[in-house]
Amino acid sequence: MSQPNRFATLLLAWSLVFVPLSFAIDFGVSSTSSLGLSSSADFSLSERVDGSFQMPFDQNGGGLDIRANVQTSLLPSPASFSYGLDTATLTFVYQKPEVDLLSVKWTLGRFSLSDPTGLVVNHPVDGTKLVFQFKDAALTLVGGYTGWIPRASSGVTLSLVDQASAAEEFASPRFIGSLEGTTTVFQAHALTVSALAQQDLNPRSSFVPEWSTVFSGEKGGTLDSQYLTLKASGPLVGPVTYDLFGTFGAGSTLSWLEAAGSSTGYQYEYRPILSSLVGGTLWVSVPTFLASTLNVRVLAASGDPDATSTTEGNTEDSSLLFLPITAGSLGTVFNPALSNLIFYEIGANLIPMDSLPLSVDVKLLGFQRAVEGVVNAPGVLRSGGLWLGQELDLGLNYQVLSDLSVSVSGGAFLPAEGTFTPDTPDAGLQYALNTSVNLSF
Amino acid sequence: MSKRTAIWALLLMVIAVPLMAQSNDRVDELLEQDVARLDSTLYLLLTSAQKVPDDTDALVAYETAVKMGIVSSGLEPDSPVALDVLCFLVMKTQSIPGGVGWMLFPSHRYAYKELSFKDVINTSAGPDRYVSGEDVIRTLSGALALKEGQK
Repeated sequence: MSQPNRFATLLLAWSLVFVPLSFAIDFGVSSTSSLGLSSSADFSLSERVDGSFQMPFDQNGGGLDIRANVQTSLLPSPASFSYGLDTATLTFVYQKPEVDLLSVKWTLGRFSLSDPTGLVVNHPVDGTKLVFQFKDAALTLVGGYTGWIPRASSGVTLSLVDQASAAEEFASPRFIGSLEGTTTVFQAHALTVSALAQQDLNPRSSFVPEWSTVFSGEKGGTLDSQYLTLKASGPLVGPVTYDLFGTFGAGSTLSWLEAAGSSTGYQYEYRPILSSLVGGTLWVSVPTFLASTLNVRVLAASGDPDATSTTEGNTEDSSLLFLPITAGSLGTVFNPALSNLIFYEIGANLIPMDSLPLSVDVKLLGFQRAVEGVVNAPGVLRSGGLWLGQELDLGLNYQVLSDLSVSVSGGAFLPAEGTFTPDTPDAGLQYALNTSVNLSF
Repeated sequence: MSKRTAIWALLLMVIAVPLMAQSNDRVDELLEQDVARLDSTLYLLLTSAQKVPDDTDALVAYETAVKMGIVSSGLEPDSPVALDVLCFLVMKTQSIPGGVGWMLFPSHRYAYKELSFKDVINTSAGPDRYVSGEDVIRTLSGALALKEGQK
């Protein structure tokens, strides 16, 4: 059979099997145009188009889901272009009409993998996910590979090898697996336990061998890490709800240690990572005051006073520095990774007028080192004081029509003395302003 | 309060005076339909919008809708009504404004998205599910309340 005939046969077979099974096929296109200005760069102008296609097989969540994006940045020059496949999954759901196990959902393809807090990892992977849904509990098993994700869509930069490969087309190759269980306790509180691990699959030839006595500032070793998280959330009292979690981070990192028998007095050795991340959020709903929701949040990631760098900078028997797999988003202007950091947030979401589809977000943020030492943010001095600075963020979203919205967001960060090199632009007030228009079909 | 009484109370509270002149028999007939008929649905929508007299019958309402171009002549008067079709008929007959998608491509898809965004319909079963007579009345009530709130 010729190639075109084989393809046509396969397509027909696929159509005969899946199309009759499909329920409402849906598709969508969303366009976001953004104009930005910041203290550290000139104007930025970008356009992003997201496309989606869903073909459900049933009414239980089974089906085909594809989402992709195309982005172009016109300013600052030179213009750049990128594209990505965000999601491409086939999901099958088996419903078992039993009291104990209600359904089993199996997903295969490219999807976003995250931990219960969203602060340790939130990254697209190519892999598989199995969800066992019970009456009051769920068990989720996930395994995924990151090495086929375009680097432009990836935020994984854990090791020196990752940094050296910044210009490569695809993301740092890692296997990420997780096992997560969620249940309801005391009728209204959700309790989640999660075990997550990532394994560095960068080629061994990239690494500095263990026991080497010659220092390399650019090459490092493999970095594997594991995370155990316990999270609780639910109602507290009246209109107050809460979210509380603790994560223990472990792993191994190549460390440059003093060694008596070494010709240079030092050698590379793999040492354990023993770190932690804790946090909590309180929300208060105040519908009588501008339909507002107020929140207070604190996050604390452990630090290491002896580390010389946040990337493979351990110089002691163990590393205490917490290392998230991907960086989150804390401030509009200042956005350090959750390593050696205590983060404070007081925020409010308001609807100023019922008759106007306008919502306002206001946040006051504070940043502090957990201990003296390195912080994972460009330009932050290791030697500075504990308090890094404070930021005020403001966001407005106006829903013009059901499928057209305009957003304006901005922030101003005032660094503390000593956070950045004195008499540099970063040492003064830093700001960012962004306007975007979104149209979704 | 029985379910039928509750539906009538909803009609009394929300729907404008012209609807109250409609034949009670027609509305009762629609309420009894587990799967709403196209002609009965069109009767309610077109009399509510004063596009047909209230003393007309469902078949005339159907023929008027075909002439208006909001219903395909290939659909029989006793055809079941899917949710996205209902959304389209409600938005067209009641002249409900919509977003850019509805303005450029007035279709079942964008009518469904519009009324879903405005929380007028229950989308849990998707746009293809067949609606009941009660669903038709609730959707029309919701859309008219929405229109009233936009004035």
